[in-house]
Amino acid sequence: MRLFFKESQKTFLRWSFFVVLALTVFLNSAMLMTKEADYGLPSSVCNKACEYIFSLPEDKRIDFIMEYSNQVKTEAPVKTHSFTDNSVYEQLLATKLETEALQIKNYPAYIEEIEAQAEQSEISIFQDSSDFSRKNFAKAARAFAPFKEVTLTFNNSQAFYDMTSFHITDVFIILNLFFIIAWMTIYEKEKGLYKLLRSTKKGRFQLILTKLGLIILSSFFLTIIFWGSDYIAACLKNGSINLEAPIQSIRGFDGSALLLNVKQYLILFYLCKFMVYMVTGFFILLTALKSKYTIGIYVYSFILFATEFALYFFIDGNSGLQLLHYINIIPLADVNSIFRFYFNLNIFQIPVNIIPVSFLFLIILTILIFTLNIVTFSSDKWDSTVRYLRKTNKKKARTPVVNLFVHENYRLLIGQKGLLLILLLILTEGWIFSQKPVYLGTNEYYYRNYMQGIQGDITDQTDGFIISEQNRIEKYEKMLTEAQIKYQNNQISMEEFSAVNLLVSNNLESRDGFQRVVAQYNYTKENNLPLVYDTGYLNLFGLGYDSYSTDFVQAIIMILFMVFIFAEYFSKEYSTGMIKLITTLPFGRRKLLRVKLVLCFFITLLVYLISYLPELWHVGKVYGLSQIFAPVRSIPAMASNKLASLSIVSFLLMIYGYRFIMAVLTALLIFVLAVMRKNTIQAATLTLGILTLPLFIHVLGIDIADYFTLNGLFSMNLVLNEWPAFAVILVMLLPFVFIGFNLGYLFKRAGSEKGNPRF
Amino acid sequence: MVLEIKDIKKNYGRKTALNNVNLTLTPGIHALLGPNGAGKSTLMNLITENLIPDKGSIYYDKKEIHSMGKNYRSILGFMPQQQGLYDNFTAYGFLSYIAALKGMDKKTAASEIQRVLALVNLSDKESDKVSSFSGGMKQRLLIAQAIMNDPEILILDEPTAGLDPKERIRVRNIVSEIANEKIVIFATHVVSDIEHIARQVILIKDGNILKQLEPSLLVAELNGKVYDLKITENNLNEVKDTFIVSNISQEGKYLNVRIISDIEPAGYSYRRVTPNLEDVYLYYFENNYSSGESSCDPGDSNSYLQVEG
Repeated sequence: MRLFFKESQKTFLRWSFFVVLALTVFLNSAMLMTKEADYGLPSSVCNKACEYIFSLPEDKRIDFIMEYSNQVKTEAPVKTHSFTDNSVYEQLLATKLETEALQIKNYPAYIEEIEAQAEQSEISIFQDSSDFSRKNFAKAARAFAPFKEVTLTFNNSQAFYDMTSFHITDVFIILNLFFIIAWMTIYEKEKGLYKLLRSTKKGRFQLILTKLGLIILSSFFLTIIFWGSDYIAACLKNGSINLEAPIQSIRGFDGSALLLNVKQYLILFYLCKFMVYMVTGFFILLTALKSKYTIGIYVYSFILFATEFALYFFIDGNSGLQLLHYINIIPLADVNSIFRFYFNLNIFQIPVNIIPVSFLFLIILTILIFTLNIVTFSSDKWDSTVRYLRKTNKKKARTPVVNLFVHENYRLLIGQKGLLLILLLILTEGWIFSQKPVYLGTNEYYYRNYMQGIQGDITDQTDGFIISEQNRIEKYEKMLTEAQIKYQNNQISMEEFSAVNLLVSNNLESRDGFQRVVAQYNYTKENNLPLVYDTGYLNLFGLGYDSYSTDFVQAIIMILFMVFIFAEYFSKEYSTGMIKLITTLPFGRRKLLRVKLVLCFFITLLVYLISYLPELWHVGKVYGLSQIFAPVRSIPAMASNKLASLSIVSFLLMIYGYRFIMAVLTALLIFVLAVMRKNTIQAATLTLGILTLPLFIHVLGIDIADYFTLNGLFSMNLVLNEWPAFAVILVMLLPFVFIGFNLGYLFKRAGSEKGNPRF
Repeated sequence: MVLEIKDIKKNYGRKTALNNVNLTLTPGIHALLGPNGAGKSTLMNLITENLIPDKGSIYYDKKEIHSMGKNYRSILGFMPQQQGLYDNFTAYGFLSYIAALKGMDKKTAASEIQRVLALVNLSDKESDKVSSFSGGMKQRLLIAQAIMNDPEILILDEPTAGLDPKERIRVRNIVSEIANEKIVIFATHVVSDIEHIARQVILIKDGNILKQLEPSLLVAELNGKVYDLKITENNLNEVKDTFIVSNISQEGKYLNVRIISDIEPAGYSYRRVTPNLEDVYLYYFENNYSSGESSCDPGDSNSYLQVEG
C-alpha cells in the first residue's frame, strides 16, 4: 500500500497534473455547453419545450406533442403553445418532438412486429430464408418478449445524448491518461532509472502492479470527473432527464433489448467507459515499457487507433468480416452504438448477441494486456525482451541519418511536439465544423432542391419548369383564398377550412424557396448567365449569415497553431546557444536555412489545408459546389464585384491562394522574429500582436483595424468585396513585398556564407 | 598548415574587445590564457567566422578565411563554451545531425561516430538521451562532435568549464591524443588544464596579446621573482597589500606565503623558489601589468626580516 501511495504522490502531486486536468475539464464543459443541439436547434428551445412537457401528466404528454406538431406543420392560425418566436426553429422542434413521440406511441406495434417476424420465419413458405435468419428472428422475439408489458414515456433525449455522446470527452480523458502514464514511465525511462528501480526488492512485480493499479484508479476518477461534468452540463443546458423511465424512451433506443431504466443504463455506460479507458491505459503503458524511444509510444498508439478506426469504418457490418467491425475498441468506446440496437453476430450460422461478445472481447483484452505489462516489466531478461520484439537476429551496424531535412523534421515534429500540435489542430477544426449546422431550414431546403434540379444554362426545359411551378403555386394560393372567402361567408365549416388549409400548406411549403429561384432565374436570364445555386458560394465569399467572421476565426486559429509549432523551433538554436556551433559547420548556414524554409513551407501547407479544407468540405457537403466554372457574376450578390467576370473556381483559387500566401508570410515572420529576438516567448508574442490581435479586434466588431493591418488579406473576401480597385491592387502586392523582405533578412542574417551571421 | 591572425581589431560599441591582435599558429596545442572578459571568446568567434573583425584579417594557408566560405568551415572543428544541446536527441542522433551539417556521407558518418564516441568514452551511452547526461558527458559529446571528420583546426572554448578534477584530466588527455597534426586552440582561464600539454601559451588581457611563448620560457621569465615568505599572521594583510600572493599555507605558528614580486621582499624572511605557470598567470593578470605599475613599493614596509634565499 505504501508503494501505491508513494507512486500516486509522485504521479499526481504536481501542479502540471492539476493544470492539465482543470484545463481539460473546463474546455470539455465549455465545448459541451456551446455545442448546438441536434436538428440545428438552440438548446434553450429544447429546454423550454421539455420543461413544459414534463410539467404535464405522463399520460397527456404524447397527445400534446402530436397536437402541437400538427398545429405547427399546418401553420394553424391558433396554436395552443409556442416555444420560440422563430418559425424555422418551431418547425424543427415540432419535427423532433414528433419523431420521439411516434417512437413511444408505436412501440407496442414494434414489439408485435418482432414477434410476428419470428412466427413468419417458421412458416414453410419462408423456408428459403437462411437458418441463421430464422434463429435470429426467434432469438430476437425471445429477447423482446419482456417488453410487451413495458410502457414508454416521453424523455429528454437531447440531454441524454449530450451526456453520453460527446466524444470530445473521450479525447480529453485519453489525453489525461496519456500524460499520467508519461509522467509515470517516460521520465524514469529517459533518466535511466529503471535499472535502479528494478534492482530493489519491490521494484518489479509490485511496482508494475502499482502502476497498473494507478491506471485503474485514474481511469475510474477520470470517468467520474469528465462524464459527471457532462451529466451536469447536459442537464443545465437541456433540462432534466427522467432517470426512472425505460431506456427505450430515449430517441433511437427503441431497438434496444436492455431491460433497464435510464439511471441503470447510465451506470452501465460509465462502467463500459471506465473499462475501455482502463484497457487503453494498459496498452499505452505497455508501449511505454516496450519502446526504446518516447516516439514509439506515439507511433504504436497511433497505429492501434488508426487500425481500429479503419477496421470499423471500412468493413461493412453485414459482411463476412463483421467480427472485425464489431469486435473493436471504437464501438466499445462509443458504448451507445453497442447497446442501442439488438444485434446478433453470425458466428457459424449461430446468432450470438453483440453485447456479451463485446464484453468478452474487452475482458480478454484487459487480461491480456494486463498480463503482458507484468511479464514485460518483471522479466529477468528486461532488455532482451525489448530486443526480441525488434527482431535483431544478428547485430547490425547502425546507419546514421545524414539527411538534414529528416533531422529538421524530427526536431520540429517530435522534439518540439509539432506532430501533437498538428493533431490538436485537426481535433479543433473537427470540433468546430462538427458544430456547424448540416440541417437546412425549410426555405433553404426547397431552394436548394429547386436549384440543384435546374441549375446550369437556361433552356426551354428550365423555362417550362418555372412556368409550370408558378402555375401550380398560383393554383393552391387561389384555392386557399377561395376557401378563406367561403369560410368567412360561413359556406364551409372550420374543419373543412382546416382541411383545405392543411392541403395548401403541404403543397406550398416550397413557395418561399421557389420565390428565390424565380428572382435568380429572372436575373440570370436577363444577363444571359447560367443558373447557379449560390448559398454555398455566398458563405465562401463572406456574404453568408456570419459575414467575414468565419474567415477571421479560421485565420486566428491557423496563426495560433503556427506560432505554437514554429516559434520554439526557430528560436531554440539561438536561445540554447547551439547556433554558435551550427554556424561553424559547412552546411550550418545557407544550406540549413534552405532546409528549414522547405520544411516550413510543407508544414505551413499542411496547417493551411487543415485550417481551410474543412470549410470547403462542409460547404460542399451541405450546399454543393456545382457550376464551379460559371462566372462569379452569375451570383446576383456578386454582380458588382471587381472580379465578377472570373469563373467561380478562379475566384476561389485566388481567395485560397492568397490565404496560403498569408500563411507563408506568417511562418516567415515567426522565423524572422525568432532570429531577431532569439527568444521563443518574444517571437510568439510579437507575431500574435502583429497578426492575431487585429483579427481579434475585427471579430469583436471593430472594423477600423482592417484598414491599416493585414486583416483583409487573411480573408481576401473583405478586400475584393468592399475595397476600391486601386487599394485591392496595392494590397495584393503587399504580401509578396513582405515575403521578399523577410527572405532577404533571413538570408543575410541566418544564411550568409560570408561571415557575421546573427547569433 | 598555418593560421595567421593579422592586425585584428574588434569593438563592441565603445568597448574594445580585441586590439591589434597578431598571431601565427602552426600545428600543436596553443593555449589561450586569460581572465574572464580578456577577449578569448571574441577571438574564438572571429576564427570560427561567427564574427567579422572591424579591422584586420585572418588567413589560413595564405587564403583569407572569409573568401573560403564553407571550405574553411569544413576543416574547422569547434567546441563552444555553452552547453546548449538538443535534449531530445540521443548521443548518436546528435552526432548524426552534426555529421549531416558537416556534409558527411552515411558510411563516413557511421565510422566517424563510432570512432569519436569511443575516443570520448561514450560508446555505451550512444542510445541515451542527451537530457540524461551529466555536465561532463555533455562536454565530452561536444568534443566528440568537434573532432568528427578529423578537422585541421580545432577550437576548444573553455572545454573543462564546470567539470570535476577527474573529468578535467580526461578532457585534457583526449585533447593531447587528438592534437597530432592539428592546430588546436585551447581557450581557458584554468592553468592546470594546459601547463603540461600546450606547445605555446598565448596570454591575452583586455583585448591585447601580452605574451606568446612556450610554457617553459614564460616560466623562465619569472625566475628570481617568486618567493616564499615566512611571516606571522599579523603581517599577512600588509603582505597581501604589497605583493601578489600566490599561495598561503600554515606551518606551526608561522605562515608560508608564496609571492610574486619584481623586487626582493625586503623586511621579510624569504627564500627564492622555482616559478610555475600559475605564478605567470597571477603575475600578468593580478598585476596591472599592461599599465606598467608595480605591485611592490618598498617604501611602504615598516618591519623587515632579511633571510638569505
